[in-house]
Amino acid sequence: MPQALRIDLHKLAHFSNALLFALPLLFFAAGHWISFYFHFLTVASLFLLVVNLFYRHVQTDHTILRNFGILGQGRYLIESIGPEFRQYLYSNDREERPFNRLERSNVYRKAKNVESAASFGTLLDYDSTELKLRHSLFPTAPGNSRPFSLTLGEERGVTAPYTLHKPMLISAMSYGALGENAVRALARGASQAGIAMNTGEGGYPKYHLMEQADLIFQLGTAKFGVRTPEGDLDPEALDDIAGKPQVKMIEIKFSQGAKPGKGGLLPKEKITPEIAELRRVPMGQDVVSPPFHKECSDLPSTVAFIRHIQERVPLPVGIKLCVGSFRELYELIVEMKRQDTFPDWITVDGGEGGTGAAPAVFLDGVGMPLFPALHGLVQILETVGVRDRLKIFAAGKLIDAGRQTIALALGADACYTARGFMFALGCIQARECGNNTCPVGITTQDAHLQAGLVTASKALRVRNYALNTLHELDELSVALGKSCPSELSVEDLFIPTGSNLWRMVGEDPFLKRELRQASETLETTRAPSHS
Amino acid sequence: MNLKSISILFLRLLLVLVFAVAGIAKFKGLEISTPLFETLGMEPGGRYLVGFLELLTALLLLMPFSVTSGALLGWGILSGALLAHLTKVGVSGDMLPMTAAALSGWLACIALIFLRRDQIPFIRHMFDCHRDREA
Repeated sequence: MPQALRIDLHKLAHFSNALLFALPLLFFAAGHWISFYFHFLTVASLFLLVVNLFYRHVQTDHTILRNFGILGQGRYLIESIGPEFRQYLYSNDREERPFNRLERSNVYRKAKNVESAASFGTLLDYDSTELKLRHSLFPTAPGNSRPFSLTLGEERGVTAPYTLHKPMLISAMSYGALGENAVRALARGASQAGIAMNTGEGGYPKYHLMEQADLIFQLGTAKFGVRTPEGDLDPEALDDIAGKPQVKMIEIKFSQGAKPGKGGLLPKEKITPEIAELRRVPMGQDVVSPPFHKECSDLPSTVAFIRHIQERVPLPVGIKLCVGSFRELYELIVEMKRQDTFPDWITVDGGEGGTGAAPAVFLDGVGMPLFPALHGLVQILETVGVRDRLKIFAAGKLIDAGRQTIALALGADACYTARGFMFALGCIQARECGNNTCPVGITTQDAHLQAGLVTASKALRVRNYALNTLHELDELSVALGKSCPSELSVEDLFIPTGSNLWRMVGEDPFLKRELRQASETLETTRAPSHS
Repeated sequence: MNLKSISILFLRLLLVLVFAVAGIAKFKGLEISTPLFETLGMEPGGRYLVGFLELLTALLLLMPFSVTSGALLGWGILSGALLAHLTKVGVSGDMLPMTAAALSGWLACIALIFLRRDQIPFIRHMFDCHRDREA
């Protein structure tokens, strides 16, 4: 029987292993009888032979190398450049995660102030389950638009309320996760665009403070920057930060979309003297962020902790969380109502994950996606009758005006985005954020890699991205017949059957059952005190 | 400083000295190296090539991040030198000191490679970056 030609990698490997024994002898003979120059090859092939013997008989870590020797390296070699090649050549424009090429290019164009019109129709599967916006037959007339304005802390009458003039904010990214240049470019761009920026939970915001941006100081579970050596809150340090003129608000972080229910670990190798000082942690030992605030063990203590911070600082104080269970969220809101203590805003972080490094199971499988979570929170607040007591910020892949408009329509008052601004800084989605090897110098402390990120020019990109996105957001509001993005409502959305939101907005069986059960339980427990 | 880092430093300095001296000698064409390369049939191109490689080795060994590569290259050059001594130019008589130097340098290179085995390319490096890959 004639056999079809094929490459048998097993046989090829056996052949190459045998050849590696023959080559040094062959080259030796050539070096001896033809020209001594051949001995360069003798030595090189001898080296290969030694390496091959090591692979096959000494090392025990890699089966492929033990079975097939040096040829097996081909697999690792080619595999190692797979991610790059997939991004360069083989992945199509709508395929990559978390952001596909179309989404990224959209941000790049806005950041570079380049015309972003496309022709010949959408590349998306338009009939699919993705949410759409309902435009109005009568777009807003030019004179009828009004500027966006949102005052935080007004419900509580805080000493120093803060007014947002743009519904877009830079989400929490710490110094430490980001390098100095990236933080300063973001802060400078934010101040040029007139938007506020969250400092992240990474301690005293030294580099954020170097520019003129309005800041939201984030208080994480480890209380970095405002902690005592035991990890408790140091009230004076908090007063000090709250007293900085640039710090306009405080955000208490309960959980984040990348790893809800899990605290971060700061390995001792990454704790430089500067990080130790800014975060107020000791050198030479790992620092484990607890998954929750020490002070918050149940609902009453959680609300009491929010009140404690609110009483301590004259600024608006909000909270950030990723929604796990609506029932818990409902009980939290009811407890807030009982104690008559509301955060000035709640940031809902979608389980889509963000910039934080986290185990894949947490990134991929924990936390409710943003849109259902947001809608659920709004429903709960309205059910309890306290929607007017606080504002809502939304976070989770809100990098373009389309998704931001959806979030605003679902009830958010403003949108956070982190990764959108990273793209504006030049992020290429190499996904090496946790390795200190970020090729574009954003999420790295490496001075050489950071050298490529020039603060002045990237600050301009950040500004352009923010302003162009906000402009697009305004254009969408006009198309939807609104005079301001804050007028958007669920009515403005086209929610296809089969999407997650459809179940919640259209029929809502899940949420309704949860809410009904929760309020019934509450009524029964409350009944005696009323009678 | 422990014994290991002292040994590495000592071997590095020793080898830098050996390769720098040998490389310069080849470029100057001193009376001992020219006839040697004539015997090998590599005069003068081969002499300059080997001299260049020896200076490169000294340089690699001098810089902290390329010590292992320098040791590997040095091992290769001295393997070639030993081959020359064993097959063409002889080991005894006039050639004894040079043979002894090549042999001790060769052993020093092996020792250095062994001490820095956690940094040999193809053996450690490529797996460190990709711990999440299978097999």
